[in-house]
Amino acid sequence: MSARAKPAGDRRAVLVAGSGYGALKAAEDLSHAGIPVVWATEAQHFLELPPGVEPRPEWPSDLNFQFRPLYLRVTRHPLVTPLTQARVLSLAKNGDGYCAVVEQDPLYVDYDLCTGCGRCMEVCPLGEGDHPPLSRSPAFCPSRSLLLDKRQTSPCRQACPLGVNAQAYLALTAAGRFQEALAVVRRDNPLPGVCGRICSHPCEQACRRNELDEPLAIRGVKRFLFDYEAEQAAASLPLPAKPTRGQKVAVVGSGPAGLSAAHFLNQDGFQVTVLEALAEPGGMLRAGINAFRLPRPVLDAEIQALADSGISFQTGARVDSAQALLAQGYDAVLVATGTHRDLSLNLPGEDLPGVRHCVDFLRQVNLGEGASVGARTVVIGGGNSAMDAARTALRLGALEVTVLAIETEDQLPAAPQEVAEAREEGVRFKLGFAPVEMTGRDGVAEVLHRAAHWETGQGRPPRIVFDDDDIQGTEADTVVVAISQRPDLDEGGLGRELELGPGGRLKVDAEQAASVPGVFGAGDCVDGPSTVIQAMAAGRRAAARIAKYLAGNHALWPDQDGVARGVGEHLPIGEDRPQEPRQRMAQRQPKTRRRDFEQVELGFTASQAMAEAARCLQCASCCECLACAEVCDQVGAIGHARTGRQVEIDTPAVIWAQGGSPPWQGAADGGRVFPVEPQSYSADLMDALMMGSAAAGLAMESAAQLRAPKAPQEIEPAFSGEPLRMGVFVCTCNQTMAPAPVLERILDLAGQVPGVAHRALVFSVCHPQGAEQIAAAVRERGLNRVILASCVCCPLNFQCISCNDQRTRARLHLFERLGLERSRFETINLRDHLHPASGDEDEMFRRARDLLRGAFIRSQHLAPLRRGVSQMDRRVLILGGSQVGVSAARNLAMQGLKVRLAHHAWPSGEELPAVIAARRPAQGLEPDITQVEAAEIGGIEGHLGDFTVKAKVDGRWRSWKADVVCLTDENLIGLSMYAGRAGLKKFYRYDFAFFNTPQIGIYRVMPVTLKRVDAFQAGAALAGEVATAAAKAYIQDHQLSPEVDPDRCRGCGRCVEICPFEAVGLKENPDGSFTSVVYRHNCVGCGGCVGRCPVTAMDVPYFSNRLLQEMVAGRMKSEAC
Amino acid sequence: MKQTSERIRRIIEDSSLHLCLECGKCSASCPRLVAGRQYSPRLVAQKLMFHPEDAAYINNAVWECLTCGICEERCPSGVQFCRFILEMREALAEEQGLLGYRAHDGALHSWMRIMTAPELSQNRLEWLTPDLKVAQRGEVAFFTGCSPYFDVFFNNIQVDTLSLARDSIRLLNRLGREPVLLGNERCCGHDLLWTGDRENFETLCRLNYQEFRDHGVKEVITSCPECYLVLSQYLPKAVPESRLKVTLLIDLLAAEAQAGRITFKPLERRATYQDPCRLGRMAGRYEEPRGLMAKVPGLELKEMEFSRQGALCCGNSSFVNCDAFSKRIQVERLRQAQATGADLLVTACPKCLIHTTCAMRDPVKGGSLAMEVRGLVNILADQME
Repeated sequence: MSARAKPAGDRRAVLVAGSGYGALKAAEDLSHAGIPVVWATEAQHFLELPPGVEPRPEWPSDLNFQFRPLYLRVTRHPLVTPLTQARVLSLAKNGDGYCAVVEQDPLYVDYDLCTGCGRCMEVCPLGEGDHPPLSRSPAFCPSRSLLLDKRQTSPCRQACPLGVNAQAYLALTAAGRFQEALAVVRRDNPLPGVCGRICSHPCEQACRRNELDEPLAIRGVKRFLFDYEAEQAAASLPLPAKPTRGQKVAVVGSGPAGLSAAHFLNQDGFQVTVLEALAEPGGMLRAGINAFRLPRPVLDAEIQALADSGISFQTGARVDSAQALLAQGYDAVLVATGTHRDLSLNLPGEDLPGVRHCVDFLRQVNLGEGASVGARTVVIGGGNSAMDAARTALRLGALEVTVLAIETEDQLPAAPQEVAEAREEGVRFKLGFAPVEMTGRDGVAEVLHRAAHWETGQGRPPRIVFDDDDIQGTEADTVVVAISQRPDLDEGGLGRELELGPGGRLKVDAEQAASVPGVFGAGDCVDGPSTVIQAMAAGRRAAARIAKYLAGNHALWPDQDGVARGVGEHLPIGEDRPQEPRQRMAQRQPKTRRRDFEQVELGFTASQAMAEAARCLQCASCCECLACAEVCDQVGAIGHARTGRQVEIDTPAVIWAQGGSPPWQGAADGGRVFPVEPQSYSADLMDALMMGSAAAGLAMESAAQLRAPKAPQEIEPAFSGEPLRMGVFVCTCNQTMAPAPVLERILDLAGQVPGVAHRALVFSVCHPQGAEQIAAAVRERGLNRVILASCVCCPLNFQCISCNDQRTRARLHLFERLGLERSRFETINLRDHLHPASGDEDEMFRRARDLLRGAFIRSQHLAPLRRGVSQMDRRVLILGGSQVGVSAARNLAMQGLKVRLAHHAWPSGEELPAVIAARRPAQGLEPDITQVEAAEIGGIEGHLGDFTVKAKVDGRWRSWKADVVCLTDENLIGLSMYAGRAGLKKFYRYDFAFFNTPQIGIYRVMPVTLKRVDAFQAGAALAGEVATAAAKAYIQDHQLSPEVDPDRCRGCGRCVEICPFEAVGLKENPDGSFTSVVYRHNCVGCGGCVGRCPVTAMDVPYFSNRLLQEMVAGRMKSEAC
Repeated sequence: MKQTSERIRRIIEDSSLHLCLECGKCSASCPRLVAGRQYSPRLVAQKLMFHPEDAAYINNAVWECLTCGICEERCPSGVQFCRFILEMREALAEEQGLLGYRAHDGALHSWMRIMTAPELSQNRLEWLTPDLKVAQRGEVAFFTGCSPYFDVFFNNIQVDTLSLARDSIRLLNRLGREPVLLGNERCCGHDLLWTGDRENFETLCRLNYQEFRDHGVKEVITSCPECYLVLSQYLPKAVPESRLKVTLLIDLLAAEAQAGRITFKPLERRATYQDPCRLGRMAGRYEEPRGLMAKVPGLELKEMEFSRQGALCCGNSSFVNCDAFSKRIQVERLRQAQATGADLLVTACPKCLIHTTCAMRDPVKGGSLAMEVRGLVNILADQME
């Protein structure tokens, strides 16, 4: 819920495309004339100048402040749908009008919800950097709302099969926030300690730092985070709360895939049991990976953490039948048994004693089953397992270890670091050779090999091509064949139940389901040998499918494969960014480490980790650590997963205020596309505004049928005689207003005030739910006065130049949407006065107390605001048949207004200027325009909605009635001008109302206008302005229009003298004395008369004289305060 | 409550309210009633004595009175209605706070209260022109009053009450006197006294007395009837140790003129005279101003329909309750002045000057009431030889 209705699907409205002052003016005229508007701009804010336009030095420096009220009036107008960061995709002719498709980028910070509290900025780890992702709206936007720069997802995160958010944990690490960083890892990866050591880190390969120097040591940082937590013995940050579900899932296999699946299923509330055939859980992590790369305490700790989180582990439990598990009461079974069977070379001599196979060999070593090697060991294969085998052989006492592989150094599948470390430890490499035979008598003695390479071709499996016939031999006491593995399913029971595919791999469908319902497969046993991270990703994928199968709960963990969101390219790598080598992790010396199974790498220190993390380029700007979303949880303004939207608009006319030409679909037809050219900004800002006004007027010709006049609902509030039941609501502004103890003290204070029946903290008054909380309390507890302590300065229905969007929104929610009575509210602006940054709680309380004290006094002087409504009759009288007048007349007639046009008009006592007299009356006008050729004007009396114009036509005086009068010839301007109207210019300054006169409802065209636009456009602009008044059907009195006390009024006329709007007059009493009267239609509520009255006979309903006197008289003390 | 009613009983006795015969002469002569307001001094007296439960009526009525004193003149029983109002306002203010409504949004009363600040620093002697001779030290001081403030506040109606101060000095110089002017003189407190603010009034009295004492002043001359009334009658009650001699300038002038020590040039004008309430009915000076005007050759005094003891109020006192009825009183009084055929309205009080001028200067329809208004001392100073 927000202050305005979101556009749902197709809608009818006038499309205003582009930003800037001209577009603002156009949107204002249209919406205030009752026409719905969709305002779409690619910019982030509506006043961003159109492309190519620069601010000009002659523009006033307070320009943006001048536009603030207008900006708020328009963007929060109920008929305006404002879309920022939105572009018109296509425009197509559709009947008389157009069909426009507008696409809006995702709004990661909801402008309608953001309170501007700024907590997100405080917690953002990148807030202090060169490019903080969160920023305040620019000065010209009267909102405290924030903007979030979220670029395309960083390459590291996209490259990670699990989608682990490396950018975020690097950002947090750089900020020294290690615990939070680790929690970010754990969001996607339950095994940070394992992956911090042995992950194949595709993230690092993808790192954009490669373009500059070296990739980030992402894995090393992750390892540091895990080690830091373990060393500090710090409790991990809690994982998100999980639901509870009754269903049981058996996970067969405790390798990376099984553990990952078990973890995510457990997090989703399922009862998970992991069944492991070996004596200890971990699968290949334990059986296949060496302790010197992955120390057992790390693995044990991670598995223990999983067990602690509620997963049960059964070891030594070989599963032969998935169906039996289902029969035992498991609702689903995941087979994740991995690839534990070695592939054979199928070469002669492979069965000789001394020839070992890698997985088998490593398992024996790793599980302590007793293994030994000879002095000379040859390892066949070039993958990571081969490196493991080679280095293990060294540690088992081999004097000479040789790796024999077909690949060249560049092609080796093993990680370069593994190769390098093996080489450091003394492993020799014979590359580019394929084994041919193993020879020996009692046992193996020599491996024969020939130079060879892999030949790969389209649609063919790779095959070995021998390069020459020269057979060489390498002596060996032990040979380890390490050329990949396959699942072990076909021999066991599972293979009999479940359909298998090529290579003995489990066959699953797109939902990871095996051939038996309720049985799923994941990891290497399905996909063949892969990496730990890939297996974990597969495990999570299967977990999602199982959750869907069991709970219908889909997309719990969105598939991270290729996940990408955000708007725009990655942050560019600045030219001034220095090259910086990557941190090197300390390692034990090769000659020492090769003797034992202790860890080779020693990990980063904290300063190294921070320095390394600081190298991160933060490609996506926003790293999605979600710290901001957490502090914005209640407000809900930040949504990192939001998507864009498309809106289709059925528009009778288009205002194009962004240069270029519309993206036509089909033939271009610009007949009803009215431009506000960026060139109009070139001279005077007013030109652009006038262009906007003219475009709006032209658009109105065909958009008039979109109007649906609605009579304002006005209920006269009864104020007198009711016992005081006051409510005090204090906005916490999402906990940033002041420290909680201060707010509590403020509430306590309010509780001591007589008449206070309710008091409460509200998390955000400008938030729909915050306002609803207030409305509910007001209604349930029958509160008849409310003090609202927030950032809202006044409860009135207007915006001044210091107003902002949050204040406006709060009032819209409370008074317009929820229908609370405005005149019963008194507001204090705590937000700008407490200065919580000072930290002085007593001072904050004192300030709040003083403000509250004033509000208590003011609340006793609240009175009903003026609420008169008058109906309008849409009669427009245009005096002067200039081109402007004719253009306006035709436009207004097409809008359906009743137009009377006097071609030649002159004030009584003056001559009709010869230029005008010589002008021939325009021909061929619409028949529904009443035309008069010549009229002498005796005078104009009355007010907006009810003017009487004395006109002499054909020698006879007539009385013309009109709701609005336009003076479109220069000789008539005098009819609108009054002497001594100081202050008027200032008043209209913020309205940019070119045609207004001191008399509301009388419009005139000044010669300067015709220098800005041509006469036709000026006529349209005039028609647009006139329509904002005349087309409304109803006019409301100004809420602050004063009342006159006839007993006090001395009838002196000083109020009449000062009012620039002819809104005060004198009425003669029977005894010859006078009393002043307020002409409510003319009154703009400025209060000039009230200030001028020497005897306080006039008063306004809000901030009344009576109140001011109370304040001066020093009765501001409220006993309780 | 008992304390309150005891106090009110004493007020009733002190002002002889209990002697009221209910004859209604007071109401019949009350300018507010004449101007159309449902207002009756008689009813106030009766309500207070016999229906004190009607507090709303009593409170309103107490604050509405103009304190012009015409009812006292007409009362056959000698009820001191003005004293009654003054003391009731004090009593009500103590009980309920300062009520009643103050014209000009209470600005004048605010500045009077501001003057109670002991550390006040004023710039109140800038109006002195080089031709005016004043002494730095001496036993005789001239009390300027609020003119320096009035002329700023009322600049939109172009009153020149400072001319009264300048012309007073000029006249004193002509008599060979050079008075001391006190740079930190305060408001005499008249308007606070008459609007119930006893505490601030007494503060002003004390501060003024200290100023006199610190400068060795033994005699104070003033041309303002309100200042005269306060300094001579009310200040000694607030500051019992005061032994100040207070002289009204026109008394001095009357005596000097009588003795032939000051004479005047002819002024061929037909004038009429507005008796200020504080000068006439409260200080009994009816003949002194008239005598002085008679000393100006050619100046013809045409009395209005109601003059001397029966003079109509200028419409307002102490800047409270200025309203539609005040305006009607002023219109009536100015019409009476015009009816004399005079073209010059003379008065002896700056307040009368301000109020009559205000009514004439109404932007709308004010012109028909316009005539020249001057202070008595202005005329005397201009015409002195």
